[in-house]
Amino acid sequence: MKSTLLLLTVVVLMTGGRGLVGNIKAGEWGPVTNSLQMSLRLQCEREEIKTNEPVRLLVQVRNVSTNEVIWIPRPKEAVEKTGYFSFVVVSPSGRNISPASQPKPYYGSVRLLAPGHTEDFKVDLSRICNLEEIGTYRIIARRTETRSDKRTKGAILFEVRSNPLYVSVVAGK
Amino acid sequence: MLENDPTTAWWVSGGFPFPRSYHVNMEKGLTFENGQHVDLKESGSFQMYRPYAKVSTITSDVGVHSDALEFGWPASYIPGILFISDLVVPGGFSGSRFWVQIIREESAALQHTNSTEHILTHPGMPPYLDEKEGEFPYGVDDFVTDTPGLRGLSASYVRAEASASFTMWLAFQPYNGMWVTLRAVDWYWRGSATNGANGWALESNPGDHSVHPQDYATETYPAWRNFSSERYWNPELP
Repeated sequence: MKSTLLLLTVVVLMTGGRGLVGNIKAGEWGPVTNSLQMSLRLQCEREEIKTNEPVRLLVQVRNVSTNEVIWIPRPKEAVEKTGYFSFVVVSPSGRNISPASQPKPYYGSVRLLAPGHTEDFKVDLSRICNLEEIGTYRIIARRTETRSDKRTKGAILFEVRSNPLYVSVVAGK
Repeated sequence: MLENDPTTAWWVSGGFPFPRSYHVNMEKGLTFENGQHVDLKESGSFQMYRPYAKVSTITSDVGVHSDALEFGWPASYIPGILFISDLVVPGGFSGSRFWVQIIREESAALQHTNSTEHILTHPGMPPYLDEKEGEFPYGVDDFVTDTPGLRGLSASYVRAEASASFTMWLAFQPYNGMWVTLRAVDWYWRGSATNGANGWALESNPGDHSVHPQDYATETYPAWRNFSSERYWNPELP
């Protein structure tokens, strides 16, 4: 118990000193929920992709608090296989083509997110969703996070949502 | 005579706070077209510095927290293991530290309520580079943590187990130079849990892990055959 308290103290002290000079990157962000914010964009710099290209997304989770360290669990497997994120996908014709999102157990670790820092996740959406229709898709990433209630010690579940991402799919050559 | 130009080499060992001295003998025999032969001999010494480094560790315990069988208690801000580096670079030199973690062995299994046993499988042989989506290294800060575990356990499973052994390396890269290893720490964790009437509970000993493992000096480089992110469940999870 003594070493556990020491471990807790050391981690909080070390991360608390980092301040707000983290690796924040430009981009659009979803609403802040319990000090967390999520951004969704294409990994490539372009705004459109071809029908025969994989849809590689970059999901960023940001700790917007000024004094709180947040732990983010992180799979060590391909993220899209684990149901770690769920995606709302609306096709150009207005159909809801969201992939089924059944969270599965996964082997992984936990990342320590200091105030102002972000954690990046790369997702290949083409592995779980077919975007063959030509036109503009609307995509939102969602993630259910767990936080321990400091008073009751029980688990609090809440959802973090990204900004909507508009991806244009054009005919591939 | 050197025929490969340029030839690249770098020195791994050295001393601190005083440089280590190395003696070098060079001998070269030359035979000329007229049959004359001459032996060239030269000797001398050179000195090499190396940063002082120390890695300290603090460990917690194995437990079942919410939906996870894990080493550490992240919901309470407690990692499984914390590595803290102390690095002193010789005066007049500069460079940066980083961490590399190798998974020497790893296993995990999930038993479904329908009795199917799902095994965490790697397509290749160990050791594995513990990487995040192909990114190298493990970390660049003065400290890093690891909190391995099986997460997302649900009512669909009745038993879970996981274990792994690792080596964490502290490395140093001089400005404009090649990186070298300085210290390493071997560590492991192991745990199992069952899903009973009151939900998931730890089955194994919470103390089945390395306890504040000691670091050791090293001059060898981490080696891996495969990458950790290539793992998958066999059979695939439903």
